[in-house]
Amino acid sequence: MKTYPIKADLDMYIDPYAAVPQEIIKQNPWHWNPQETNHKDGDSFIYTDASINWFELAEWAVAEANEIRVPQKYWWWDEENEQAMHADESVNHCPIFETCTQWMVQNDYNEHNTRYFKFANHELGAFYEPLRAMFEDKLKDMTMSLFVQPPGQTMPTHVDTFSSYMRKTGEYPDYSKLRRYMTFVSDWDWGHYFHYGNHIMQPWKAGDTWDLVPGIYHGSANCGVTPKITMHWSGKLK
Amino acid sequence: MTKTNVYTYKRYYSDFLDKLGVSLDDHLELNEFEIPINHEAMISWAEENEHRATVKDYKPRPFVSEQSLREAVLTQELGYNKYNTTEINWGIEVQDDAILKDMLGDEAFKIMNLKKDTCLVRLLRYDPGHCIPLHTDSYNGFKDRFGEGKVKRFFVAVSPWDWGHFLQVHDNMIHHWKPGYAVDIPNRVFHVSGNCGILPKYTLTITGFEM
Repeated sequence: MKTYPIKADLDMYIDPYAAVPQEIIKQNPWHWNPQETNHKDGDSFIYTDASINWFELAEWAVAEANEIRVPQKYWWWDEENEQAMHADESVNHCPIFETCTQWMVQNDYNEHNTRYFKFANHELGAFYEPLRAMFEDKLKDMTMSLFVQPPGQTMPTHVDTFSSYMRKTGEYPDYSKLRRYMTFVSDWDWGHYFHYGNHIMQPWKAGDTWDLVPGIYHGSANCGVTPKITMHWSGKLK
Repeated sequence: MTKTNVYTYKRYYSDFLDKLGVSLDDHLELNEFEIPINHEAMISWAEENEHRATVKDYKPRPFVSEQSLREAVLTQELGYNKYNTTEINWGIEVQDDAILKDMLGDEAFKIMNLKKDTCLVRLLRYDPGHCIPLHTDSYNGFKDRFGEGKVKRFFVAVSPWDWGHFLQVHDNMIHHWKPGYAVDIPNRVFHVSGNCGILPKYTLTITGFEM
């Protein structure tokens, strides 16, 4: 072997289901079978939005990211304190923790392969109001985040546990009320990958908007040459 | 995007693709088929012989073609490094290549229409969080050993598809494969493969002369 060892012995049988909070599984039954072909995982596409100039938003986001240069968000395991970290925040008390151990203890996700830029709420500047308008009739206590995923980075597979919401509000999430929507800000390009359960979202167009119905295992990667940019809305269903 | 200066400009790879006339708007028809493999035996052999694997990451190397060298330089500039491109590779050693050929068996080579004695078989493992970025194949290792000729390269799935595993061959995103799924990666076609799941991805690349 010529490079550094991987963190844990490889395991061909890590069960993602075991890491998902029981409330989510009970409220959102799902097939949990990667080989299942008879599924409805791709049925929650809503529409292609034309109310926003997505090209302009993408250009703005990339310019902001280039200004900052250092992605604000990344996942890493604090060996010394045995803590799953999202940038400088511990998520040991959050419902994403068990999934984090599958990522960063049983696997080798770290601060080098999970980095992304995040621009939230009023950081979106002139885009804040028109973006908020897209879902203000559907969501209350809404938060918005735009993610810029540079080439070489991944968002490891997971079920949305709304851990950021929990960190922000201090409340344990009520999964029966929380919802997330997502729009692709830039067109699909080389190496851009997004799987929603067993549905592979490719090729997408800027403005393609999805209802990320809860309880479905999903993840994304950018093994291409241009940034992958997505916009997310989270909140309680009205 | 504003081109500020040569150091901050980021679209060099996109410009390179444009210069080559490579566009995702053009569709590539795939040649897909199946070969018989015992994937469990192959993975067990790999795990038992992990100490014999070559571990490498994607970076510029002096023995590849000029185009491959350029592709590697361009990806380094984009942020690819050992933390996201590490590959565990069996078959570079001659005896391992022979073992893998034996495990595949004659029928597989017949289906691929390849000369078995002049084939190179590589078993690759990409762990979660790792990928091979956008590239073309230069067949340098193969040509150094067997010389010039009409070279074919095939991707063969070994581990069953799992969430987060993918292969993109030009505009085709390939997923949900079963062990033994095979696809021709035509010469000079750009492709990329990655793993953002939680299980390792085992695949074969088989390179050889057409019969």
